[in-house]
Amino acid sequence: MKLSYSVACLLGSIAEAEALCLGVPMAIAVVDGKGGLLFFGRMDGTLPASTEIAMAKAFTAAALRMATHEVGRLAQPGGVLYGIQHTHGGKIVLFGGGLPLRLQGKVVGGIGISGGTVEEDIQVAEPVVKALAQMESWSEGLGNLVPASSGAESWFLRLHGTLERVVNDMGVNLSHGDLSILRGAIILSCGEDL
Amino acid sequence: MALDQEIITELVKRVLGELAEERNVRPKESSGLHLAVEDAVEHAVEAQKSLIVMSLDSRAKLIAAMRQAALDNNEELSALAVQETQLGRYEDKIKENILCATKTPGTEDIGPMALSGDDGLMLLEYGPVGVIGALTPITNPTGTIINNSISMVAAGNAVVFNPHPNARETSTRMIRTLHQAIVDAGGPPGLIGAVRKPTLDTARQVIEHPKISMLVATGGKPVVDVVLRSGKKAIGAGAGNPPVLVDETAQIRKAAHCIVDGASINNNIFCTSEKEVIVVDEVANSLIKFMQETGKTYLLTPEEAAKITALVVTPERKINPSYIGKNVQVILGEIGIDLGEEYRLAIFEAPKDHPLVWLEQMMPIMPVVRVKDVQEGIQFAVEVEQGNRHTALMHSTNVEHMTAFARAIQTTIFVKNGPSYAGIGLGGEGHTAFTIAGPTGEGLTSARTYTRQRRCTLVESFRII
Repeated sequence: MKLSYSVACLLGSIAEAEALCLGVPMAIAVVDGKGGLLFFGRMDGTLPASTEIAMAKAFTAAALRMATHEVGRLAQPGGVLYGIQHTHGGKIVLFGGGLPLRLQGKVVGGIGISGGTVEEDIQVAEPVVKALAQMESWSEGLGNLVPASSGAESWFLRLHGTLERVVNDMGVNLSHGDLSILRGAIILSCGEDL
Repeated sequence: MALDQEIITELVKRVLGELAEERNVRPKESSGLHLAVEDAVEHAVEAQKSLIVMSLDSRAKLIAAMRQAALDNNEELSALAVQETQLGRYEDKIKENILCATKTPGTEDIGPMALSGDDGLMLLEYGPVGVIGALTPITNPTGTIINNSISMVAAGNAVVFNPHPNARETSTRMIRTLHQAIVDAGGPPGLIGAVRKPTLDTARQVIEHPKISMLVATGGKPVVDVVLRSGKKAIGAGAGNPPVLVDETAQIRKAAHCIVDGASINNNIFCTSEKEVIVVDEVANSLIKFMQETGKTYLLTPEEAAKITALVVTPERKINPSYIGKNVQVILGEIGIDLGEEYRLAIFEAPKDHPLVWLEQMMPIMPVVRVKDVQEGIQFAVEVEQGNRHTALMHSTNVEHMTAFARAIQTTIFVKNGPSYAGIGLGGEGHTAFTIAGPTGEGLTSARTYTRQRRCTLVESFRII
């Protein structure tokens, strides 16, 4: 199972909504399982240094399969990973704000947030991990309902509008976040090529 | 979380149902309108392939159906055009559409030419160019689309329109109407089409699309310039500033009627309409008097003319777009002149350097300039036409004067002793066209304009005499 670009964008928008709630402009990076950048966004007013930090956090979390604050703990003098930050040309971050993203129990990518305090960064990153888990759980519930071939590009573009309309028609009360998660669930259940 | 899996499954089922429906239904019941330029072009390419294998007789039936559909929906489309663009007059739009539906040549325009001699036979046929991209204007959205669609389809082409965004509603309705007529008459869906929301960006996509082999722009100079720079074969219909010259030999009363009718049709938005009167001094008073006697013309006093000029010409010497195509009552109302419904035009005496003499005003306010004789008139008319070589008019009974003026001004259309619209086939001989290709030289376009010539030579046979 891979993390697709469409899902990465949705995760980015979920992080953005969280950052807006906090009132702190953030840089948001999503990478795939090998640490390759899939999505990046930088909100207006973000601290300039945050661009590189966010990307490095996402890379660290994906490449080491663990949260950046966890890496930091293990990299203290005397720790088992002491000195690891020198192995990847400055791309390893030792403080919080980067979390691995998992599908079917395996790390398929990472999210990196930078712009606030470490606590704020983690506060924005955590709902993203939760959202992906929710997408996965809903998509499992859908079973084989969504045909694998339905993911043609034009279909994707129309998905959002159609979903909004149906939700309205049915009178279901859905938050913006839920709507993104539901979109993600439908995309996930199209199959792993997407 | 208020959502349980059951609701989610139900939601997704409905979403998938709707998406599948859209996908399956669209190609079959295509309306001619598409979400993206790419879709419109793809449909057009397929449709054009189907069109060229149809018989000429069937193609003629499509043309007949398009004409009929334009006439059947004329009132609705004319009303919508005036309401949406706020340009022109309902009763004139009706005339415009009838003209385009009935006097745009069909398949008869692409008859072949043959030459036979000692060496056999040469046959020249006019083949389609493929898919044409057509940019249509805000001023005459209905007429231009009727005219272009008939001409282009008659020649065996498909067309992707990009109408002016401010005439979107009218233009897309027109396209949908003609598209439906084509499909109902057994033609291929997608033969004419457009995007639902035409913008400058979609215009660029149409211009640059590799599967569009010819471009036609009807509108202002900027859009014509863009298509001419595209690297594709392009046909451009640009702006004009048609002078009407009246000499001392003219039948002045008739001239007065013709000028009032020609200048006021659709509130002067036709590019062919009289935009300034140049009159030999000797008959100027009579001409103005007769124009007033038509009961449709209001003569502005010098003070009123100054106020109107300040209103409709900006300090940068540009036309104020708020008054383009408006009724004369609306414009004169702004300076407190209350006119009855019978009025269609306001005139005023202007010096040679008056801005409205030199600008394409496209509103029913017309300057009248006196000249001492016909020679001065010809010279001045050529100057104010400004090399557009678009349209010029003359009222005269002196053949030499008319010949001299026509030679000097070199316009695509030259109308003698009639209103300007006679030059586009309304009450004058010849076919009509709303794409008048002055800049690129095709003149009043027709089916043959949208073809490529193909020669077929048969050696030593088929000379049968």
